[in-house]
Parts: sequence; structure tokens; C-alpha cells
Amino acid sequence: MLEELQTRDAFLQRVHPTLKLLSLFTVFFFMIFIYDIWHPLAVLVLTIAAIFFLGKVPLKLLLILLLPFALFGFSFVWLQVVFPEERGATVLFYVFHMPVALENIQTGVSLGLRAMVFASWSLLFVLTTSPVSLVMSLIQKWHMPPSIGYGMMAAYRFLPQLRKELVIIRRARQIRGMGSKPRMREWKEAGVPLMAGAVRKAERTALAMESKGFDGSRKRTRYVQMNYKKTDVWFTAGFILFITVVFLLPLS
Amino acid sequence: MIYAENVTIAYPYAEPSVEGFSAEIRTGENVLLLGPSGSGKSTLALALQGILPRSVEAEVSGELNVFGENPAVKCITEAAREAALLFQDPDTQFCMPTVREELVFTLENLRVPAEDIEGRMLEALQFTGMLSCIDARIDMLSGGMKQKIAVSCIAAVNPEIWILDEPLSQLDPVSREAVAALLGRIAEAPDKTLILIEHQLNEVMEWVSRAVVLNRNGQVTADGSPGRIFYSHAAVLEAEGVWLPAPAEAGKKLLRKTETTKAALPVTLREWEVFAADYPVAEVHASLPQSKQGGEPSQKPPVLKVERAASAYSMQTVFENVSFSLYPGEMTAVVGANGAGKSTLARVLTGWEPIKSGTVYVNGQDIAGLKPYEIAKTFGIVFQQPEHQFLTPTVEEEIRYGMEIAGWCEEDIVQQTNELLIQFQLGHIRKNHPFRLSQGEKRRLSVAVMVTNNQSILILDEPTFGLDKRNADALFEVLEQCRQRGKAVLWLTHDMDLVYTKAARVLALAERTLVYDGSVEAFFDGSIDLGKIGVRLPSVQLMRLGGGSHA
Repeated sequence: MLEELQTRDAFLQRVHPTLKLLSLFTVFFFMIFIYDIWHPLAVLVLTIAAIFFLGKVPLKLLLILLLPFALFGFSFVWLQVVFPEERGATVLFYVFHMPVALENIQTGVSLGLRAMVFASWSLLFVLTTSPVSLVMSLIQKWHMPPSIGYGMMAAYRFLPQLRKELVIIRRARQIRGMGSKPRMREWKEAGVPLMAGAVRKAERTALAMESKGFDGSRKRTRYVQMNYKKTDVWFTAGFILFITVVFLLPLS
Repeated sequence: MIYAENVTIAYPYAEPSVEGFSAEIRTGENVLLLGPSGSGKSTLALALQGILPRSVEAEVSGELNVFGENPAVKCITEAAREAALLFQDPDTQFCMPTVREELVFTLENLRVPAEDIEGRMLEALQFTGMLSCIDARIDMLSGGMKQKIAVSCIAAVNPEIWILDEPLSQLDPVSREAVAALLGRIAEAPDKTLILIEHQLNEVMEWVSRAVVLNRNGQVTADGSPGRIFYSHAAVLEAEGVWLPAPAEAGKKLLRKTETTKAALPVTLREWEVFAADYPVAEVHASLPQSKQGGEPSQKPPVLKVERAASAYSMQTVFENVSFSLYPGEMTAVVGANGAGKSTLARVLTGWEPIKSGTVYVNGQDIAGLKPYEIAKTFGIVFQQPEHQFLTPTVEEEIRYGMEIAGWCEEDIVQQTNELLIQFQLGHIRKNHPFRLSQGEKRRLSVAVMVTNNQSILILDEPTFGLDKRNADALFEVLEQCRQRGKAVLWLTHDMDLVYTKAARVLALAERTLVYDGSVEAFFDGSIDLGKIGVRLPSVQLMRLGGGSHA
């Protein structure tokens, strides 16, 4: 499912992973200076539109993924209203004798939207970038040591296996414990065989990698060259335009 | 080409696991390393490649040379170009998500020029017959296919020495045959040297040219042609718990029975036919292991009754219309190809997987209405990974655990614990941590903890996986005792020789349903289309068909 999205034939998927990562950091940086409602709202809408049109990610899936962040964002509104640093002057209405001021709602919505922007840009990155191309780009362009990059790849392969194993371990222990045990303890204890298994698996994989001649050095040939292409020029141009219009122009 | 003189290898803070290993291996030889679990075969394999002590901490003394140089001082890429390792666990040999990426990773490591990578990758996959899987995700492949991909990676590197550490032990018989045949094609090449560690020998004897037997300390006790060694060192091998290939085992018995002598034992089916031709048919048949006789039909009510059970994952039917009963004192094997639903059936029987339709009755009660602890009182379930079930820090506490929960009095617990420790040969390690036991000990302990609760049904998933002969025999001795005490013992397996000699009854799953339920004898007598079920005749049965003088 996720892989299918990450390797889909669409514009964002073809953009170099390092550029997408850079754009993510840039947006995060500029968001620091934003306190109003309209800027984050515009960025959010644009981001969602970009993921939908340029990344061909189904809108429904995107909104479902953003839903938990929306709830998280709403908690800011609630916090600002109930525990404001300074209660605003424009009281709109009362909830159980508690005044609700426009200024506090505005701050809350702004903070909440900011969280949503962070979430949506992260999704833009995660949903359109395959782990392999990310690691390859980082190794080739950002000089990440191959030992770390390929180690991350191996670890990434383990995740689904570990989840499967955890289900089996819990069942196995339930049978031993005659099905009657406090849940928290059970989870904690299942971690021991899970970790023991993970360590052993990691050890074996490390041996297999070394036996295949992997020495962690940068001296290796490159079958796939992660070079910058025309798509990347378009992406960069579009991104600079976006930053200028949304963040820089209003400042000047 | 490989020269070892008095090689001793010791891991930190431990007794040496190999002590005084000496051997010389020439180019083109296909050598089988035999020895009991813990004789340091895998350690030697790592040392031959140089990984040990390069990356695995251990002290190596003595002289070890590969191509005239100590492998430990070679750089990683050079060592990998000369000697490759194939490991037993198909799940932990890869670091990339797809077949193509893994092969590229391997070739990039060795600094193969980018323009040559595509060609070498395609050539290797062509050789192993896996070309159609080039863009497949490795996770999605079966164990046998994963192992073929691992072979493809080595074939792409094309080293002179192939070190194979139990490459077949985690595969089902059909894949085992396919991978063994693939390795056989490499063995044929005069410039390739294979060093093989394996327990189950039936598939590989066609191409093994030399056997080296190690004892418990890793010293060479015999070295020569397999047929001769199995003959001259039969007693030692038996004492060390080494599996012999079925023809050699039967040949040994035949010689003993007829009080005759030969220069060597047969190790392949073909050799067996020649060997057995000198003896009368009756004698030959008598020397082959017999299948277990199904006892009298039980008069007792069934402990487990399955009626028209069906199971499905989302919309995909795993099986349907499965009906059978298990009676006290039965030894039953469940067989079927990979993915035929054996494990799912076991999960349905034990109430883990919800049943789609039909009913499972446990001692007359519908399992759907039982609470987990009530189910646990009836079933002992031994998982494939024994470690998953261990809860306490010592072997002794592990065995006491179930009885303590059941509320036994201390006197009974102590008595029963001691009995089990003796019965399962765990007394000498009663204070050890369960995780630190050997594979065979872990398996025995996992069964021991399951019989403490007087459950009436014992279910085991691949009980002999990764065990040597001695441990497998010991395990089945215990299971047989459980059966005699009136438990119904049910195990899932791929091993038809095991089914033939240890089970009385067979349940076969194929084509999404139960296709056979009956005695083991009738299952293998030729009237059942075994190919359809995805299993093979046990080698014993093949030998019966091919052996003996008919004059």
C-alpha cells in the first residue's frame, strides 16, 4: 500500500528525496515566524493540493491520515481557551460561565494549524519517497556513511517481521500463563523474547552483509545514480515561488 | 587450496568450540562437514571466510590458509570474492527490500563496474531460474525462493569457494529438493569447491564427494568417501547423534542382519539399488524402517471433534469442510504443501483464529464458548520458536510454573518437576536460563512445560526443526510416552520420513480441504496422489520399491 504510493508515477515521486527533505525543513523554519490564521491555512491547503495533484495520493486517504493531527490541533484551541496566558477582550460567548474570547481562539487555531502544516509536509515527504531512494540519495549526495544507510535499510526490513513475531509471542505466553495475566505486565515481558530474537536476527543479517563483501566504506560502485534532473529544477523553482509568495512578500 | 593445521577457535569467556581441527581441501572437492550440534561446524564456516575473527570476536590459533593466506587478514571485499557463505535462515540474509536491489547491493559491494551489474545480475537469476522474480519483494517470497535468491547473489559474485551452513534445514521437502539440485549444479563445476554443513542428507548425497566427521570438540575423527565413512564409523556417528542418509541407515541394518560385510554403505538411491540387489527381497524389506501401526480404534469419546470447519482470511478461503476427530492415545501428523493451511488449522483448533463456519468441540464443548484459560487447560501447544514460550529465569522454575498456576501443593510440584527433569534429560541444567540452552534442550523444555498441566491434547508445530538425530529421537521418545499416557498428540510437519516412522495417522490438507484422513500405511502405499498434496514419498518407501534381488 505505502510502497505502491511511494513508487507511483507522479511528479512528487520523481523529485530528488534530498530536495523534498530540504523543503520540509524550510517550511518548518518559516512557520516559526507565523502567528496568524491565514498563512498556515493557505500552506495547509496548498500542501494537500500538491500531494493530491502532484503526488496522485487519494484525497480520502490523505484526510484520514490527517484526522488524528486535526484532533491534536484542536487540543491547542481548547488549551488556549481554557487556560489562556491572558484572556482576550472580545468575549464571544460563555461555556459554563467561562468566557470564550476571540483572541484566544485565534491563537489556538493558529497553533493547531501549524501542527497540521508540519503533519501535512511530513506526509508529503513520507507518502512520495521510497526508503531505498532516500537512503541512496543521502549516501550519494549528503555523504551519509554507507554503513549507517544500509544498516537503516536492513532495520527497515525487520519492522513487519517484528510485528508478526510479537503477535505470536503474546499468544504463546498467553497459553503458558493459562490466559490469565495483567495486560501491562504481559506486554513488558513479551519484550524480552522479542528483543532476544531481534538481536539474533540483526547479528545474522550483519554476518550475511559482511559475507557479501559489505565493508561500510564509500568505495563502492553505483548502479543507480541519484542525480538531480529536470523535475528537480521545476520543483525547486515552484518551491521558491511558494515560499516567496506565502512567507517573504507579506514580510516586506 | 584450504589448509588447516591444528586450528583452535575459542569465543571469549568460553571453552574452545573447535579444538585442533586439521584438514586439507582441494579445488573442486565437495565436502560435507558432519558432527553433533555444538561441534563448531558453523564456527569453522565463519572462520574459513574470515568473518571470524574479523567481526565476530574469537581467538583463532593454529594455521588456517585459504589460497595460501590467512582469511582473517584479507579485506572484506577480497574475502567475499573468494569465498561466499550461504546461511540457514532465509529471513535474515538480505538487507534490501527487493531481489534486484539485493543483487545490486551485493555487486556494488565488490566494486563491480556499474555497466556490468545488469548483465551479471540477469545471468545469475537465469542460472537459478528466478529471473521472473527480479522485481519481487523478498518478504513476499517463500522460504525456498528466498534461499534461491541467496544462491543467486552468490552466483552473481561467482566465488571459487561456497560455504553452505545448513542451507536446506528450514525448507519444506519440495523446496529442499529444488535448492539441493541447484547447489548440485554448482558442485558439478570442476573449479568450484563446496563446503556443506547439513543434517538432512538425503537430498545432497548425489554430489557430495567427501565427508569430514567432527567430534564434540571439533576434531576430525574421520575423513574420506561418505559411503566408506558411514560404514567404518557407524558406531561413532550414531553415538554423536548424526543423521545418516536413509540408504546408509538401511544398508547398515541389512549388513548387521545378514552378517555380511561390504566395503562401503550406499548413500544414494542408485547405490542402494545396486547394494540391495545382492540380498533377497524379504531381507531387504525387513531392514527398512516400518511404518507405525494404527492401534485399535479407540473406544473412548474423542477429545477433539471438528465438524465442517472453514477458515478464511478476508475473502480468501484457506480451507473449508474439514471434519475429523482426535481420540486419546493417537499420534497424528498433519501434512500439506506450504500455504495449504496447516498452521491455520492448528490456530482454529486452539481457538486462536476465529472459525468462519462449522464447529470445534473440545471434550464435547464448543470451543467458541470456552475462555482462554479453559482452552489452555485442554491444549498444550508447542510453537516453532521455543523461546517465545519461556517466562521464567531458570529451567526448573519454567517447569514448576504451570503447576503453580494450577495450584498444586508443593510436595506434588517438587516430585513432578523432578520426574520431568529426568524424563526430558534436563536435570543437569535445571538452574540455567532457558534462553541459554542449546536448540535441542530448548525444544525439550518447551515440550516439558506443556505436559505439566495434564492437557489432553498436545499440538506441535514442526517439532524436529533444526534438531540433530539424537535430539529428534529423544523428543519423539517423550512424545510417545505422552501418547501412551492417553494424550492425543498432533504435529505439523514437512518431513515425510518422520511421518512414516513416527505417526500412526495422517491428516493431509490440499485444495482448500482435508483430502486424506487415515493410516500412515495407506497414505504412502501408492493409492494416493501425493503430488497433488505437495508431498513426496518418504525415502524409505522409495528404497522399498527399488531394492532387493528379485531372482
